[in-house]
Amino acid sequence: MKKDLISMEDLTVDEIKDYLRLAHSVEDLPADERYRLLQGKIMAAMFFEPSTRTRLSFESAMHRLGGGVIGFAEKSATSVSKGESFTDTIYTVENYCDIMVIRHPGEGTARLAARVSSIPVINAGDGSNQHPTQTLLDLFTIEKDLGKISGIKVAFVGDLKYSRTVHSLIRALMKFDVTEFILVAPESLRLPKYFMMTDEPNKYHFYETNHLEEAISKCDILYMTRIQRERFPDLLEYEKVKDSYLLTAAMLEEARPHLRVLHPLPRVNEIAYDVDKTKYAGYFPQARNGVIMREAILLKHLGVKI
Amino acid sequence: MVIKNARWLTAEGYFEEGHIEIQEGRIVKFGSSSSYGGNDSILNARGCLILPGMIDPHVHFREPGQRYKEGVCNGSKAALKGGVTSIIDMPNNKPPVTTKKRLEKKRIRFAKKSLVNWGIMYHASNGKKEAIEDLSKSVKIYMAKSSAMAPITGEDELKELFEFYSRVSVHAEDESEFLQDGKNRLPHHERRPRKAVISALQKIENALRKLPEEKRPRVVICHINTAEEADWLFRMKNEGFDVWGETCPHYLFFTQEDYLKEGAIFQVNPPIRTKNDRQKLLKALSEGIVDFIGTDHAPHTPEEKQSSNPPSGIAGIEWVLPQMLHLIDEGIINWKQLHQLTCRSAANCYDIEGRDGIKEGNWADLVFVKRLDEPQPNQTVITKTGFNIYDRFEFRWNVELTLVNGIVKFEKGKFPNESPGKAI
Repeated sequence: MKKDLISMEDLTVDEIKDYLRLAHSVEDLPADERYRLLQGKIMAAMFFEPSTRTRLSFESAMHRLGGGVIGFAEKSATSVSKGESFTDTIYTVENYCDIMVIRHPGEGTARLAARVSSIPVINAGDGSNQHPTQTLLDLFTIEKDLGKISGIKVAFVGDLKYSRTVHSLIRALMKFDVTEFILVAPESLRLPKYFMMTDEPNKYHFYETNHLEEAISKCDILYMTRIQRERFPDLLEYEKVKDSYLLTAAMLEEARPHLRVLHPLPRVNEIAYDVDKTKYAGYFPQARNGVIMREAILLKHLGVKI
Repeated sequence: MVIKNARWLTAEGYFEEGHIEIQEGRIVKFGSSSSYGGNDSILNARGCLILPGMIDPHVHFREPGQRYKEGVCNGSKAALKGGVTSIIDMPNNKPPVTTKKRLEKKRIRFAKKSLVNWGIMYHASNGKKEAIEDLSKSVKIYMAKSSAMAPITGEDELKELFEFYSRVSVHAEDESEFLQDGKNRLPHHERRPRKAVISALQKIENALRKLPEEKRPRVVICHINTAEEADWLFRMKNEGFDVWGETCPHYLFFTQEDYLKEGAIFQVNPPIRTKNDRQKLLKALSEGIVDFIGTDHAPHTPEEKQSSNPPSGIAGIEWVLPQMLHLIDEGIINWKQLHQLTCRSAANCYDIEGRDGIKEGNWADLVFVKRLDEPQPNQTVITKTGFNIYDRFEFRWNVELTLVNGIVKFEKGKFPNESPGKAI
């Protein structure tokens, strides 16, 4: 039976560990061996909304495995813009390829595609809903950098109310027995309360603070996100907080030696360039890990063993 | 008209700024400069946030037959105060709206009296099929008795109605599972037990599965009150069924403990259930499983509620937006979800044209809200229950002004223009 990747919620801890193991093995393979694994296979990258990084990362992964890539980078390049239905697009494109990678602004569209398609579907982000490959690459990065996931302490900074990446990663970390989270967010962008409404309220601890520097000295991973003016109901609040969410190299003096700063990218204002040169900067290697994890995902869903 | 110093909510949950130009009731342009015509009347929105007017797809304004409990005019005023600009009224009237003729008469009544935009529903009867889709927003199927009509509890009867109508809204409590009172009066939620809900869902699902896909209607599960309904909805949506879920504020703010403590003022159908149900419903809201909020505004007089055999129903429409904004303050939902729950989803579900948010071309159904530094003091109650069961919460938001089709209909507690709204 074909296997889709739609949501982290569909995966058990063991299944997630499988992806991580596979990614480590992919990384250990010599390039010429890797290049033979998906020869003759075609991936369709169907991007109904632009997402250059995610698309290039998937295309790079497929090329590294020797496979071919077709696709489009935005909706206006498709027959959908001529009025073709979404499902018709799926019924057509599934004849052209072996696996589909779909990015779409509509929530739930990835699952719809998976239901009607006869070949595996990988969700590369559907609206504010799910983006599982991002979460898997984040977990892979954390495991590579720290050597483990369970028991670590993670600080999330910025827009914790809307960030799909943050929500999905917190849920996954909870499954891996990460129990302590530090949340640094302005009043209007705090993490939704239902994260604290777990069945095991005594197991998980969420510390909320407005002070970035306080979090830095206490965590193993510092996960940064962007805050946007348009998210604030009260502009006065935005003006008050906007500068206090900028990470600079000087602020990292008190950091634990193994701390890694991660960011889903693109960064705009939240990490100063002087952080790039420090040993803590983990966000560009994170992008490299994204390709490796996506190689692992393509292999797994095309049923190729290594 | 031009609204200046505006800051408004978009469907994506962002806030945009500038001015809003309104002509003939519709939003024609947004602008960031102050270059609008000198002849326009100007409304200053400084200090307020502008939200899309709420669509409340579930109210009981009690006309015809029980105007002493509320009435269309009074109910629509309560709606305006709560930030509601469009409503859909339920058909369990006296007499129930079971015929085309009664639909037509009820439409005339609403066209004259309702200050907000309005739609009405048709009351399904066992085995009866009538083409009413031009006159009614949906067909309401009561699986528990709610008027003089018998409940519809058979799977085959459901299937027959599902096959004929394209959009049905269901009161999903299976009356055949209700318990009879013995000597001791049972608490409301025991008399109408959870298994009545579960049985209703099962029958709805069976009826849907018996129909080929193209003959299945859109099904709205009204006033979701249990964790089981949220799970069912999630599962059915994932399977591709065209099912929608509505829940009501009283299931999000109260539990059956409140009913046990305070009695009939918390007696409502379906009953308010456990703390766990409440938690699961809040979670379902935050995860986007529940589609929209309906108030199920169902007023009764204080005398009726205090009687030995009190009727079921809670009236809350006049506080509904402050209630929902409170859920944002509490971190349960975000602004994008607020937009969906109070406006966009109901507009999509019931095909309501031009009222799915603040955008060019849409009707200017707008609500100015303000965050207060102090909780708002007790205000006069408009609805004829005369009572606010939410007064124990410290809601920090107030509806300052409500525009319907570009007309200011509510401002600081007053109703400056009582012209009727439009049919939706």
